[in-house]
Amino acid sequence: MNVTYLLSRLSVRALQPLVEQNAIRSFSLNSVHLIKLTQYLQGAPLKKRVKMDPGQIRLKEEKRKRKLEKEIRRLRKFAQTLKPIEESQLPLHIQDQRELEYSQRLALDKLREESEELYQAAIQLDNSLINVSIKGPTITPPIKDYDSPDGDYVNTSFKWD
Amino acid sequence: MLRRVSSKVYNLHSRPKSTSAAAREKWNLVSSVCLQRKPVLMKEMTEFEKQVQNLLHQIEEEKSWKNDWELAAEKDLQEMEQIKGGDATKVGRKLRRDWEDEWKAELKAFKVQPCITKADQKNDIKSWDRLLDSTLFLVIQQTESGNRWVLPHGQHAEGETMRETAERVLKESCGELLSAKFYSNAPCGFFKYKYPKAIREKLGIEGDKVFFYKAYLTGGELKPSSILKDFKWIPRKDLKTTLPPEYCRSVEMFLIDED
Repeated sequence: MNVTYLLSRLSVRALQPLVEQNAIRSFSLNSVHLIKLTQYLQGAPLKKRVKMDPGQIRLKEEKRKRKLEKEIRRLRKFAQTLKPIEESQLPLHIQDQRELEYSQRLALDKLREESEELYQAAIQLDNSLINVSIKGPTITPPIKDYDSPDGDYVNTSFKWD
Repeated sequence: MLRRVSSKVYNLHSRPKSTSAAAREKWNLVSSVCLQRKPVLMKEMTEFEKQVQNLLHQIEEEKSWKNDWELAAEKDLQEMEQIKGGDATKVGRKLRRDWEDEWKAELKAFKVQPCITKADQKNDIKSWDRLLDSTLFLVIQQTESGNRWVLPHGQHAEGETMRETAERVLKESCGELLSAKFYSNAPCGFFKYKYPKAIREKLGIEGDKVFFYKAYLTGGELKPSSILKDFKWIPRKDLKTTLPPEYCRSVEMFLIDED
C-alpha cells in the first residue's frame, strides 16, 4: 500500500482537526498526532463544473424513473411465480395427463358459452356413480352362462326323533 | 406509444361487436358418446415380469409357516409308516394326500375359457367379444355423415341436458338392449365442426359443436338401427387411422394411453 494514499485517507478522519490544534498542543502520546501534512498533499486541482440544461436534467430523471418502474413491474410479475421445487412437482408422465383435465375444462367452457342452463346441469354430481363396482380384468375370461357349483351341504343340526 | 393506445381503444370498441357476432352465429349442439368395452383380460406378462412374480412367490413360500392342513398331512405320513410297521387299526383310512390328488385331478379336468375367442379367429370387427386384453371403441358410419367414421352422435333437443341427449343418442343408434354406464354429467371433450359454405348459407347454421361423453359397456346386445350405416369395434391404436385426423385429435385428448 502506498504511504501517500494512507496519509490522504488518514487526513480525512484524524488529521484534519490536528492542523487547528497544532498551534496549542505541540506534543501528544498518540502517534497519529506526530504526523504532519503539508498543504501540497491535500491539494487537488478543481474540476470544471458542467452546467446542465434543466430540460435535459428532467429528461434524465424521467428516464431513471421509468427504468425503476419497469424494474418494479418486472419484479411484481415474477413475484407470483414461485421458484420450482423439484421434489414437490408432478412427474412428467402425470403432467401429460393434464391434457385430460384441459379437454374437460374446454368442453365445459364451450358449453357455458352456449347455455348457462346446460352448463349448470353438466356440473351436477352424478349420484348413480356412488355405488358403482367394477370387476377388474382377470387371467382367463369368464365362461358364458357358467353355473357355479354350490358344493355339498350337510345338515348337522340334531334330529329329535 | 401512440399506436399502442390507439390499438387499445380499437380493441375496446371492437370487443362488444365480436361477442354480439358470436351470439348471432347459430351452432348446433351435439352430444356424442365414446362407448368403450373395457378390457376383460389382463395383459400377458413380459418375461421379466414373470420372473419377478415367480421370485416373489418363492420368497413368500419360504418365509411362511405351515398351516393346519400341511401339519395334518405330515401326521398322515407318519401313520403310513405305522401301517407299514403292522399296525392294523390304521388301515383303510383316506389320507390327506389322496384328497389333494383328487382335487388336482379335478382342477386339471376343468376347462377354462380360451383367451382367443371365435370373433378373434374370424376377425369379426362387429363383435366386441374380441381382443379381450385391450379397450375397444365403438365407431360408426351414419348415412348423413357420409363415409366418415365417427363416434355415435345426435342433436340436442329442447328440454334435455347434454347427458340425456347422449344417452338417448346411444339408445337410438344401438337399440334399447345395449346397456352402458356413463362416467359423468360433464362432457369430457369438445370438437367444433364447421359446415361447408353452401350448407352454412342455406341453413343459417355455422356448424356442430360436439360434446363428448365417455361411457363403458356393461352388457346387453347391439341392434344397429336404421341411422347406422355401418359400425365396428376397434382398439385404441386403430382410432388414428379410422377417424378423421382433426376429430381424432379431439377424441384422443380425453383418452388415457393404454401402454
